[in-house]
Amino acid sequence: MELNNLSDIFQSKLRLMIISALMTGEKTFKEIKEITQATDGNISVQISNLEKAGYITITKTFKGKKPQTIVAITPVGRNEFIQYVNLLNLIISNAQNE
Amino acid sequence: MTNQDLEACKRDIEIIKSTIEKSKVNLGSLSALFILYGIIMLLDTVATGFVAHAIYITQDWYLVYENILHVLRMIVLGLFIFYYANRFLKLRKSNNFFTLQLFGLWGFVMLFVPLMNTCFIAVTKAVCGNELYMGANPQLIICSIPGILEVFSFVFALMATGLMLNKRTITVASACLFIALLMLYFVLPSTITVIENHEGIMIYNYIGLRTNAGRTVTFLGYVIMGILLRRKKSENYGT
Repeated sequence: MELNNLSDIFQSKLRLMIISALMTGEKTFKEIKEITQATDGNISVQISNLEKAGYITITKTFKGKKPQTIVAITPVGRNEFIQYVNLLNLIISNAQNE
Repeated sequence: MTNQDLEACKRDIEIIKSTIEKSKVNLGSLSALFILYGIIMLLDTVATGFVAHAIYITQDWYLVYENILHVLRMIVLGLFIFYYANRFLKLRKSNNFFTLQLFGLWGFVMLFVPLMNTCFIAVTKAVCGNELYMGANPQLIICSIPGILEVFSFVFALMATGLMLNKRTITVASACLFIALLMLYFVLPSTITVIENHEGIMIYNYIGLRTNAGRTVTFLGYVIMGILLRRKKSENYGT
């Protein structure tokens, strides 16, 4: 029953990894790629989805002459993630108590 | 609730844990740097004190030993810069943005500021001679400005580290240290009554006391930070 209430955003493993990585602070695209070991295309698609949902912000800057994409989690994203983790823990502890 | 759903939840928790672990700041390399630097500062302070008090046979001998000590400082600083650059290049390969940021900040404090101080002393000695450092010269206060920068840059970097790592203990401790040093370096001098006949000696002794206090504080600060960072080898950045 509780699973139906879980946000669709976190149903994707890659999106979940991206949000988890962002919980420790903003990251560049390169850092996200290093942490998630996903392809550029996949990461681009997923961070676009997360941005549309209002969970993250994407800032495009330049480091010298090289373009750099910085991704940061929003307060909404942070709260949703925390709620998701709490719900997961609740489901697991309820199942263990049964 | 099916077993499959439960397994999915457990899997998600594991994904979250492992991802957060990978994105943490690597502080182990920084701790070694702190401890080493703290030990170097301690040895330098002891050597300076030894030169000042134990080997004061004649003024000429004192100057010789002081200059030897200064040359040794430059050599050790050079070696430390080499060691730092080596660690920095290795860390750059890991592409961990936060560790690099922290490493860069402390590299500036540990290397640039003392380098500036050392060069300043060398240039001043070359231009003005050793008399500037001997006893009754109020200009000694001006010459100690790079030394003051060394101590205060340590405190500001500590404050920045506390904010970057979101560690209130470090931020509060650095704020207290800043106030204490502010009193010692700027407030206290204005309250000292300088006796006319002993002006030079009092200024010299005060600056000596202040320098040793500053060095002791920074040496202890570096070693404590090194130990703390070694105990908490990885930390979340920001959260």
